[in-house]
Amino acid sequence: MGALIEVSGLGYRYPDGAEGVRNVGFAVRAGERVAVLGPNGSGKSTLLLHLNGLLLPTRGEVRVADLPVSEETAPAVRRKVGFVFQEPDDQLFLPTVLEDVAFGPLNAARPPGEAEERARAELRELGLEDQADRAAHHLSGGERRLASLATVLVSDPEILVLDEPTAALDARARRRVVDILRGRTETLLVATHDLEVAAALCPRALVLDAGSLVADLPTAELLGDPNLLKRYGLTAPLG
Amino acid sequence: MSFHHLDRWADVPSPVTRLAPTARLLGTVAVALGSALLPVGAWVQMAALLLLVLAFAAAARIPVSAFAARLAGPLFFVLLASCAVLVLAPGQPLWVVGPLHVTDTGLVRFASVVGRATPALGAAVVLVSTLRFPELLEALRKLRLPSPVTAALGLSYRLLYTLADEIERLRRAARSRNAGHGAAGRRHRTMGIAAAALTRSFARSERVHRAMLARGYSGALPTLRAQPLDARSVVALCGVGAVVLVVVSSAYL
Repeated sequence: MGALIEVSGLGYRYPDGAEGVRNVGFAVRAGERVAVLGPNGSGKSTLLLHLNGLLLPTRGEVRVADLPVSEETAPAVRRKVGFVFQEPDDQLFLPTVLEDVAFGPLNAARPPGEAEERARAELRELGLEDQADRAAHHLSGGERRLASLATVLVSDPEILVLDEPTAALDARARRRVVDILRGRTETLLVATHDLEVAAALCPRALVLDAGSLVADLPTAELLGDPNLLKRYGLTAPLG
Repeated sequence: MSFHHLDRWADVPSPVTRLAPTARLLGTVAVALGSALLPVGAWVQMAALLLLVLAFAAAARIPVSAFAARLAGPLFFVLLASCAVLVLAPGQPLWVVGPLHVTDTGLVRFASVVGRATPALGAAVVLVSTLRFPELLEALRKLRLPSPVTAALGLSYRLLYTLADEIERLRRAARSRNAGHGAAGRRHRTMGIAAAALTRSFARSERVHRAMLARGYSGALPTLRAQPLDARSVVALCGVGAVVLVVVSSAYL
């Protein structure tokens, strides 16, 4: 089976001159689940933003479902790639949760009735049906996270890209997010500091350090080898 | 989060909340325009418009105390902004306040400003107390307010709460380190917090824009809500318009 995502020789330099990623290359097959690991500032978020066309490469190329990611192809790429941002408050920007969830389908030119139906169904699936008409700032942290997930799942993307999906969640909310993601069949890329979550969700891990891809290996192998963890600036889960 | 909900009476079943948002918005504009058109000293007409607004507030089941409290804030600014007219308008001096003379003409003009502002602001209070902000935005869209304006209003409303939370967090962090002793210190601290909040808002706006693009945003905020202007709303709107027209006309006859 061919690769669904192909990244080759990717480099990105921010306008202030800082190098976000350099010479990163890897491929992800359809249905694969990949954790993107690395310390703060290693380039995880920069890499993920390229997969949705939110950043365009300074060097190299990113291809999603055979489309080279560029300004012209970005809308088509974004229909295939659902991106869940690290901070739910950035993702939930409309006055009500229902409007936020329906935003994607409406932008895909779905009629308002259908968009609302899909949004309500998605919220029901995630147990948020009672929050549909509330403002996002009235939700708990866990509910906000699920609502931001719903805003992406409602559009049925082929690929799910999540930036720190369990950051700042309590144990129960974290478990709920992991259970939901485990039940999905989409291709999954998850940037996380939480190695337990990485192990629970992703058999494969990419490790970034200072903008470079320094390892591409099975997650279990990484977690089982303290020397590898130490080398890549990662810490094994407590206990 | 310490904000009170503006639209606290939006879910209360009432003759007002059953009207279409567009009709309510247009009715508010009609009362505001009518008030602004009243001549100086048209006390009866000002009272008539205020009674009309009070009737709608009562129909919307807004308690008098809550209505008065919500009206007091904006009215205070009107009083503040217009008090200069008390001493600037030429006329017979009534009282002397230091080097300033309050004149009879100034007093009438000041009372007229307040008399015109009260029904206009009262109508706005009824509107925002009984209408959810998304419905208000949709009504503005229906009235052909440019899409970037309604989009900016919608995003501002949502992010206002996030910004308020952020400012509160910054204030707590500053207080926890005993920042800002004395008036000058407090001023310095407040300015620092304002600058930090502004910088963070700028960064947040970048991130929100990315989140919008990621979900297909292409310059217009699509909406779910279709709000037909039903017959009852049209009748109510025409009724309000007719009352305002009669009241304003009577002031000039």
